[in-house]
Amino acid sequence: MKNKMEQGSTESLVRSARNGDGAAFKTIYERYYQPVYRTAYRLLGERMGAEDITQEVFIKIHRKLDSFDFNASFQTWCYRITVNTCYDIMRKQKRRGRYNKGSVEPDFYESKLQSSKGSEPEDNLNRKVLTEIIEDKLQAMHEDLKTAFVLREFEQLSYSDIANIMECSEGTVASRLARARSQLTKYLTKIGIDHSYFNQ
Amino acid sequence: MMKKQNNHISYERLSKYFDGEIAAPEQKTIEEHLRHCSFCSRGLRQFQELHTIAEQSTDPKLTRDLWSDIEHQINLRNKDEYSSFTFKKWMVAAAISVIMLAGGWWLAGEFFDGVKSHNAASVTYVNQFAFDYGLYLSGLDNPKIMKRFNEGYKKQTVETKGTVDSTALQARNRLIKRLPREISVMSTYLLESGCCQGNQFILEHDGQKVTVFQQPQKHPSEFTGYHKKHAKIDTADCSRVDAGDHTALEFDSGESKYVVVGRKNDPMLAAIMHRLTDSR
Repeated sequence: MKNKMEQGSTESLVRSARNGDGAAFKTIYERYYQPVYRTAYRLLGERMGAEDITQEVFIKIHRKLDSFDFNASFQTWCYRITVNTCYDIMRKQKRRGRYNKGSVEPDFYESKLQSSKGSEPEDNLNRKVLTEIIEDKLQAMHEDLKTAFVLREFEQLSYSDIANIMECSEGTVASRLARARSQLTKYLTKIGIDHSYFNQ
Repeated sequence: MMKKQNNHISYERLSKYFDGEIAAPEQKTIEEHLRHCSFCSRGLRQFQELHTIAEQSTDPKLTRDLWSDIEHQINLRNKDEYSSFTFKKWMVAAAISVIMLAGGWWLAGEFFDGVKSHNAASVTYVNQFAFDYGLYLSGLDNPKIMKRFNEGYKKQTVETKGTVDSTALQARNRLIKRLPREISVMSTYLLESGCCQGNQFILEHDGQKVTVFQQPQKHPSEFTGYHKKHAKIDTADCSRVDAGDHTALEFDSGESKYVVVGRKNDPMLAAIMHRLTDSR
């Protein structure tokens, strides 16, 4: 019910923004900038670039408002534009050899985790380091696997929404997600972090 | 039905099971397997752990207000579209007029000279968008001059057009990566002009403010009327301009112009310029 209401108010905002209502578009921005920025940040792995992408995404959203189909979810549409914009940038960076491949050596994290033990508050610090490990490793991953993982685990979207955003089948989403998880857990095990670490 | 490898549940099945994307009958089979298989149970726990890390991760926070830039870009686009629409309407009207009046106007030989005189030269436009570094440098010691600079700068941003060019964004990211580690980036601006886009960073170290400009070489920004001295930083031939308590270092790479402005005798200026010119 809440979602329907939300969708309803978004629809009227989109209609107003289409008619040139700047305040309505600002409300759309305020409502959606966080998921856009979060996703761009996780996909690119850096803040400044993610901010530029967020800016670019909202300019694109504004330009494409007329083509938005009200039968679809506006949020999913925003995610799709974000992911595609990130892909463009990542491909350009890759072509120019400046793609962040998560080049930090496993030893670096191992020593970081060791040194963080005994600090205060230990658990939070370790979690922070673990998040860094995951975020860094994500950068080394194929963009499709990374996107599926980010949308599922960080954005908590359904397989169906992810399939819609990535323009593929739900089966493909399942396969990409499993491969991403497999790579991450294998990596964690490789650097000496497995479930026993979390349960200590 | 269940895909197995060495009698274990495949990663894909386990991953789908974890996400609750498995049909009920198969779910029961998997649960039964998990009860007896420590290997697969451990895999499932690892998925749960990954999920917990993601769930507990802190959301990144914006370092600047994006809305004003977005609004600016949208307004510029609307203005462009309006201009383009008006221009098209004008063209249609002009074409109709020409067709209707051509018969009579061909007698008036002055007409074509009149059209030629409206071929706007771009010189005024270029000057209007030139970025006066000297004014900025002097403004650091004099608020009135800085006000004049800012007024000119605002005028510049209002009247320019175009969207965020990825070349400028990439240049910005490259520059940030090159900066010395001791430096904090306080704010960044994308400089727009009629012909190209550049970058401005406000940096800080030990309470000292440093400003870095990067403009494509073709941009007409200059130190108008200031005496430039030669300054060699490592192997790069730079220029130095002094004004009051501040100094500016300038380097022209042939592709881009870099200007680093800050307190006179601040060694960080040379360090920044060294980093900008060294890693090209």
